[in-house]
Amino acid sequence: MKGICGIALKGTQALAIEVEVEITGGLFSITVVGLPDTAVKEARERVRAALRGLGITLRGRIAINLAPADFPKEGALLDLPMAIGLARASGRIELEKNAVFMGELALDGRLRWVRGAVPAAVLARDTKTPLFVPRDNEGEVALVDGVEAYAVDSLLDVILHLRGEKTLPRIEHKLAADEDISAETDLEDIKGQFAAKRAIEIAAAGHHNLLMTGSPGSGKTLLARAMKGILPPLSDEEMMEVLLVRSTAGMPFEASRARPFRSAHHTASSVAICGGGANMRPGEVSLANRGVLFLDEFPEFSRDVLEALREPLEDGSITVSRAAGSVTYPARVLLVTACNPCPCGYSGDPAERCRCSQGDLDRYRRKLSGPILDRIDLHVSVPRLSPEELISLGGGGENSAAVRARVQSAREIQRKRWKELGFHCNAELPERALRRNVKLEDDVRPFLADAMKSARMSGRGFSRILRVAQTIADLEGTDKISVRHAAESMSYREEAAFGNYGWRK
Amino acid sequence: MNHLELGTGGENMAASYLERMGWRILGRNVRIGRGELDIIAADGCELVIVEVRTRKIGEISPSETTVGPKKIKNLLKTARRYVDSIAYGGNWRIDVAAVTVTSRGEWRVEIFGDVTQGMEGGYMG
Repeated sequence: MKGICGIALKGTQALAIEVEVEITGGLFSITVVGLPDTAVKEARERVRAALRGLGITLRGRIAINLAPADFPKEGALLDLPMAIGLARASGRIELEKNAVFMGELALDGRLRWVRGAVPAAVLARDTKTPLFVPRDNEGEVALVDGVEAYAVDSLLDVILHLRGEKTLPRIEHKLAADEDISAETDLEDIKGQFAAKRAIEIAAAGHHNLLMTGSPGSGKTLLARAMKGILPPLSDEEMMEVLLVRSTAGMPFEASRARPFRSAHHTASSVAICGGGANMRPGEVSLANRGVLFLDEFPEFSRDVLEALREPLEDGSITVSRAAGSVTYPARVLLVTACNPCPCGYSGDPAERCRCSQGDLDRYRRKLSGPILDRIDLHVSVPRLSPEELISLGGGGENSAAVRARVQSAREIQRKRWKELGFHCNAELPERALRRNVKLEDDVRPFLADAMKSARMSGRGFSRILRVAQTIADLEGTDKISVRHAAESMSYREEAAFGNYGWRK
Repeated sequence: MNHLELGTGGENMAASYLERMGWRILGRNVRIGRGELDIIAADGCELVIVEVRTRKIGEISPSETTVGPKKIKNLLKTARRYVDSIAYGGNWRIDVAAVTVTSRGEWRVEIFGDVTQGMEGGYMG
């Protein structure tokens, strides 16, 4: 990296953009080259006004080159490096050291918040270059350790600092606080639904994807929201990933260790879910990275979206390819989905009658393809509560904090056990590694053999039983899988949860 | 006073006004091809091409508004040819001098500096 640099974003990575300025005699004009988008081209108006505010009047023909010339640049974050480059080219400042600048200029020279400050901080740290960011970006940059960064209020601040007339304080590194994570919905407040609560606990503990099926009003959405409260807090490393994605997407900064919870409506386009667009942006599946992606009315999502989810669920990242190039965003999500058992919503309900024909049911269930269902380890049915249960007081069971403590210790066990193999949790483990590494009690093998015969389970179904059983054992703090664990695990198979109403025919 | 006299009078007023501001007048009514540049002056080390517009007060539009985009485009073309013809390599700009004759017969001069700045055509060089 050389000279005055700005940044451009490629995925969640920052790329150094060198800003070169040449001024020659002639009628005043500013030309920006190096594939600028409209926002970058318009920067010349902001830069000119801001510099004039400091008494620097630009004269002559000005050419600004943004290198590398073949990479498209976008957004207003290049305003500041362009202004600094112009100030240097017109002899107002000397600058020997390399530095990275970012910020959108107001006409009066103030600096405005920009997206991409966290990737820029990571780049500056790795290249050991000083970084200048707008004051509004200070909070997020402070979370990156070991970067020499300065928060600036205006263009004047930067120029005075570079001239050595005023020294700006360095941004001090601050770790996010270990605050108490509280979700709006506590498990304790949800009546009944013990099976479903248990399922979300297992899902949270082993990072298993979950499908909840139940009639309208049975509490599926509430359960999904409660999930936020039982997930362990983000580690430093995970938090960095979350910050990078949020900063890239231009979302406001939050110094919280709470895991992201994103819910998407079923009318969402595949670009909104997966990322992309004219200016590449991460989608919901990346914004939910290291957290929960909740898709309500799962079968109502368009087929494109559902099929596009296969890659992130398998690899933990998503690659978006467009004519302009391809970028990869992290996308390790815990997928929580909910749906009705049938189009009318009352199939299997004890009180209401289902009005769907067999054809309706078949059509509805065909919407979810096998490959997607294969990625979902846990299936649970969420029945409606009876009026007696609804009006009864209390009876909510454990609160979220108690469950979270269990989840956290289960995760810790998994992290330790799979550390050598490079995995964090049971759900990440590939089938082969799983079969080779799980420990079973002696009577489990015959039990499973029996079960496989009667339930006509496939090999993959068997792996899924093992995987979930391992998490159940971890929740209890035991390493070996017992018959009890295996049996509970089998109850979360889709066939078991719905009897003949399973999703696959 | 006919319109020709008014025009010449305006140019004279503008030139003397510029001189009083400390500019050096390098040329008047320079013909380049089919165009003409009213005043060529030097403001410090910058070459300025001045287009003079004169109006009597009370006329429908004030002087400065009579320089529209098309006029500026022509002006720019002529100015470029002039700058090239003298092989000048320094900074230059185009100003508009708006001269107004008041009802009492007084002359008033106003300078609009660097009129091509901010114009897309000016920018693109």
